[in-house]
Amino acid sequence: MSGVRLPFHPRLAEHALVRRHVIDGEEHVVLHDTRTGDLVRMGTREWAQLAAADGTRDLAGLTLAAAKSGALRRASELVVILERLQTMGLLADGIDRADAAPTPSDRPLFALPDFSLTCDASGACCGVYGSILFTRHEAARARVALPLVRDGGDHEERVFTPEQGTDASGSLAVALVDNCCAYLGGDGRCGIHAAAGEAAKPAACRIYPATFVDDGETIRVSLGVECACALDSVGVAGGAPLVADTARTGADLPAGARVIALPALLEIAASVTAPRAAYVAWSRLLAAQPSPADPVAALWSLAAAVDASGLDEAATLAALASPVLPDVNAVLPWIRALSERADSRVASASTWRSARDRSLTASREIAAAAASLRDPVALATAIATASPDPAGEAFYLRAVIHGHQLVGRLPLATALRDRAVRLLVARAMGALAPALRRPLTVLEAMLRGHGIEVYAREVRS
Amino acid sequence: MIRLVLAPSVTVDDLDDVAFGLGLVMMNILPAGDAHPAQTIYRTPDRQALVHVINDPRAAALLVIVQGPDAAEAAARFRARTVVAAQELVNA
Repeated sequence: MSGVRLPFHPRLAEHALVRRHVIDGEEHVVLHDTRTGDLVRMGTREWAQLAAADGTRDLAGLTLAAAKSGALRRASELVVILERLQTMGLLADGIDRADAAPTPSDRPLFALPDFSLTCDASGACCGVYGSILFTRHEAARARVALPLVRDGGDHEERVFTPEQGTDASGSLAVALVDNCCAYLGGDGRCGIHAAAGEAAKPAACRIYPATFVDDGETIRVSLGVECACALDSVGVAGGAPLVADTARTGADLPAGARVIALPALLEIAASVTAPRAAYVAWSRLLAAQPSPADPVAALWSLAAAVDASGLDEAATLAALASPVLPDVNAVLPWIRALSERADSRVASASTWRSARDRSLTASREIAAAAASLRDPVALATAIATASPDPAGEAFYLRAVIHGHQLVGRLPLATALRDRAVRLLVARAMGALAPALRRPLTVLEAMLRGHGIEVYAREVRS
Repeated sequence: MIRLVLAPSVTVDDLDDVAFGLGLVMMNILPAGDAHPAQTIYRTPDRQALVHVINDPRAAALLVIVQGPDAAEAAARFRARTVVAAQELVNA
C-alpha cells in the first residue's frame, strides 16, 4: 500500500485534458494538466482503464469496467495509475461539476466593426492546436462520413477523447496525427468538408477564430488573432463576417458557439476588483481612441495607470496621450518567465512530438525569440525599435480590447503587460525568422492553445 | 465445487496474471459482507466454470473456489499456473 488516499468515486478533474496523438505512426495518449502545464504520457491500454473513471464508479466498479473493455491485466495497475494521478492533483471525487450560466438569448451581438475574414484554406490552423473540439453529434457525423479514419467508424474511442477529464457526455477532442486533426486531408483540406460538405464540419471549426463574450450588456464578437489569415484580412473587404450579417442576438449565434460570461466582479490589479460595468465602460473608452503609435508603450502605460488609478477615465486617457516606453528592467522578468516556460515546453515536447509537428517548431521559434531578448541590450533595442507591422499590431489591440480578452484569466494590469511582452516577442520571432508568416498569430495560438500563457503568473521581479 | 488453498506466497497480482493468462473473464467484485468475504468472480471463456478468488484477511492465504460443469478442468488449469497448497472437493 502506498498510503495515497484515492477518491471514493474517482474521475479525472476538469483541468486534466486527455488527448490521443499519433506520432510518426505510433499511437500515444497524453494527459495535459492545464493548471501546471505538466503532462503524463500513458499507453492506450492504461487510458482504456482510466476512461471509465467518470466519477460514478468505486475502485471495484472501475476494475470491472476496465475488465469489460478488455484493458485490465492486473487490478493493481489501475491502482498505480490512479495513485499517480491523485498525487499530481488530477483526480476528483464524484460527478459534481459547475454548470455554466446560460447566456440570455436576447442579448444583442456587438461584432468587431469593419472586419471580415478571408480564409486561405491552407489547413494551417488544423495543425497548431492541442484541442480540436467536436460535439457528440458532429463526432458521430464525422465517423459516418469517414469511417476508416483511425477506424473511428466502429471505434469512437480511437478518434475521440473527452474534452475535459473523463466526462464523455460533453464535447470531444479529436485525435491528432503529428498534431494535425485526424480528419485533415493530405492536401491540407478538411476531409469532413470534402466528404460531406461544409455544414458537416464541427461548429468550432466553422466559427473559428471568432470569440464570444457576454459582458452583461452585449455579446462581444471578436476573434483570436491566432491565424495568419486574420491579419492578412485586415483592411480587406469581401471576406466572411465573424457572425452572419443577419445575426442580431445570442439566439442567432450558430449552434456550438461558446459564449463566455464575464463575472460580475473583475480583478483589475492585485487584490483590486471592479464591477463588470465599469470595465465595459473602460473598454468602450479605449476602443473609441485612435490606434496608439507604439502599442507596447501604450499597453505598459495603461497597466501603470490601472495599477495606480484603477479604471479612472482621466488616468486612462492620460496614459494613452503620453505613453512611456517600458524600462528594460521592468520587462526583463517577463521575458525571462516566458523564455523559461517556452524552453520547458520545447524540452517536454521534443521528447514525444514528431519533428513534423508544427506546434513543436512554433515552440522552438518562441523559445529562440524569447531567449534573444534575455540580453538587456537586445531587449532595450527591441523596446526602442518601431513595430515592423503597425497595422497588424493595431488590429491585434483592437480585437483584444473589443473581445474583452484582457480580463478573466489575469488581473487587467498584468494582462496589459502580458500583451506588450507578446508584441515584443512576436517582433523578435519575425526578426529571427523573416520567412515566418505573421509571427504574432503563431505566438498567440501557441500561448493559448498550448498553455504557454501561464508564464504571466510566473513572473518574478 | 473445488476449493484451492493457495500458497501464502501467492499474491493478488499473481492471481490477476493467472486469470489474464487463462483468459478468464471478470464478472464481478464483491466487497466483504456479513455473509461472505471479499471476492472477485471470473468465468471461463466457454462459460463452463465460475472461479471465485477469495481474499479474506482473516485467512493466511488466498482461496479459489471453482464451480460448474468444467470445474475440475478449470481447477487443473489454475493449478498448473500457480502454487497451490491444498485442494479440496467441497459439496455445494
